Amino acid sequence: MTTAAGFLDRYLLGGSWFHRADARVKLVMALGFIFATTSIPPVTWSGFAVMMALVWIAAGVSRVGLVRVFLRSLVAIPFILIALPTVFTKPGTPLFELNLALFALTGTQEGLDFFISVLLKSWTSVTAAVVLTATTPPLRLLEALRSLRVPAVLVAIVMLMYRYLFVLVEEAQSMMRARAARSAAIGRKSGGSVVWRAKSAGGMAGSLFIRTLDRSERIYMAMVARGYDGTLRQADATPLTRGELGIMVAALSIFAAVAVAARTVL
Amino acid sequence: MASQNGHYPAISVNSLEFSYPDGRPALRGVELSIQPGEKVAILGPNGAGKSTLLLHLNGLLHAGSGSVAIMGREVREGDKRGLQEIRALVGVVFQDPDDQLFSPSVHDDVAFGPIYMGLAGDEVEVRVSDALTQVGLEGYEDRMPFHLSGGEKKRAAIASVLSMRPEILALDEPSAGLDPRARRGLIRLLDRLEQTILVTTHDMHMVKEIFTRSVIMDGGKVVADAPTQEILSDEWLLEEHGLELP
Repeated sequence: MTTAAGFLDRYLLGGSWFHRADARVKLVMALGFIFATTSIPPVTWSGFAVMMALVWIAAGVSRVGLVRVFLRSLVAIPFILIALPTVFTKPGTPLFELNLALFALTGTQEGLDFFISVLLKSWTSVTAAVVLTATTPPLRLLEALRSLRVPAVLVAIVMLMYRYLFVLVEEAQSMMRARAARSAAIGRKSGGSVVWRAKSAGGMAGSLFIRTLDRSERIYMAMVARGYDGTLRQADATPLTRGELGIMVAALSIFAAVAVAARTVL
Repeated sequence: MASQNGHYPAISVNSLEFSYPDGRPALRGVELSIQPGEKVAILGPNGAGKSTLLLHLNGLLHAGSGSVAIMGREVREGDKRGLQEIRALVGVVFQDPDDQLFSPSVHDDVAFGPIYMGLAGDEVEVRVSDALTQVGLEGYEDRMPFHLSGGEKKRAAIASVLSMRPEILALDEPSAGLDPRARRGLIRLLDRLEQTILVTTHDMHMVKEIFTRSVIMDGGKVVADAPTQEILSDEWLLEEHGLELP
């Protein structure tokens, strides 16, 4: 059963402070951290350094493995590349020149600084999210979103998606297994033409869609059978303790202080 | 519609007819009366209308003609309040637990019914832990339905309706797809429950063990309704409707 779940589960079991802390506290801390990080103006290297130090200390305390956190944080790279053109488009002191066949690109000091700033900010923010998802079970995270007044419909959609993604992946896998089981080769060129293969893949996608639609009907019936009336209801969450609130406020204050200092002092 | 002793039957189905939207008739005049506390098995070939009948019991499908009454209350389309009450009386357990368990955790699934019944938070928690204890899944609150075994999923699905404390349980092929040990556990659980129980099944061994009364449906009608012993000893009847002796 875990074949399908493996690549979707981000949570890593553990007993660190981060694992035990209330998801709402962690979520607010992570969001505050990301907000503070992104609000630090570009080229404020010391500001970035403080935030990076904070997030890596958090990664260390969570004891999920620094290498693992680093590898997971690399998902930010493709998005950071979007900022690469600023190296050449930002006006300023020329630093180097790229001679392409038809034209030359001039990289500027300002552009490069700006790009590295974006890179550090994004990467640091993603690292915070990685620490959060590695130490918080998805269910707790969803509950935290719900109690932070994210619209109930959105949370319900994400919850259903999270619940049935696994079922869907498994259905797709079993269909592909069924295809593989009949994809024998007897020495000659096998597999049919590209068009034929595309047709069979399209058929599979279509059939998966129909199955999903049927399932959604059955799920709806199961909900109605237990009294679902179109409104979304949920059990009340337990209020945060004074200690948890204190930690939350303290963390947010530190992040805010760094962000403000980065704008004024540093 | 009171029976001899002055009480209402748990389930009373009268000349129930139903056709699917495409016009295919599924039920053609079903008659069935079940007393409180009875454990009844509905047998019959695929397509006989067994599952369709179950969906009528708490108003998920509505009669084309004829009527269904639960504890003396008629199931009426459009009667929102009445339907909510009937849905609290009849717990329907669907065949595929993946349809029944739609929440990201076992706890949330079992709490779903009680929350929609409008119960207070503490009462919901009491119901959840009681229901999980009843099916032997204590400590499974935070588990994700996807990670459960087939037998555990089935028991969680049953817990998700037991938490509503229904008077009647209607289960669609509960033992289908379970391995022998999980099936054994399910049989013990159904035997222990005090509710009126109605199941559709092909599992003749299970029927023989715990269901005192059997109903055979074929072609959208009830064709036999008698004590299980009698039904199971009538080889000709079983063969006629595509059933096998245990």
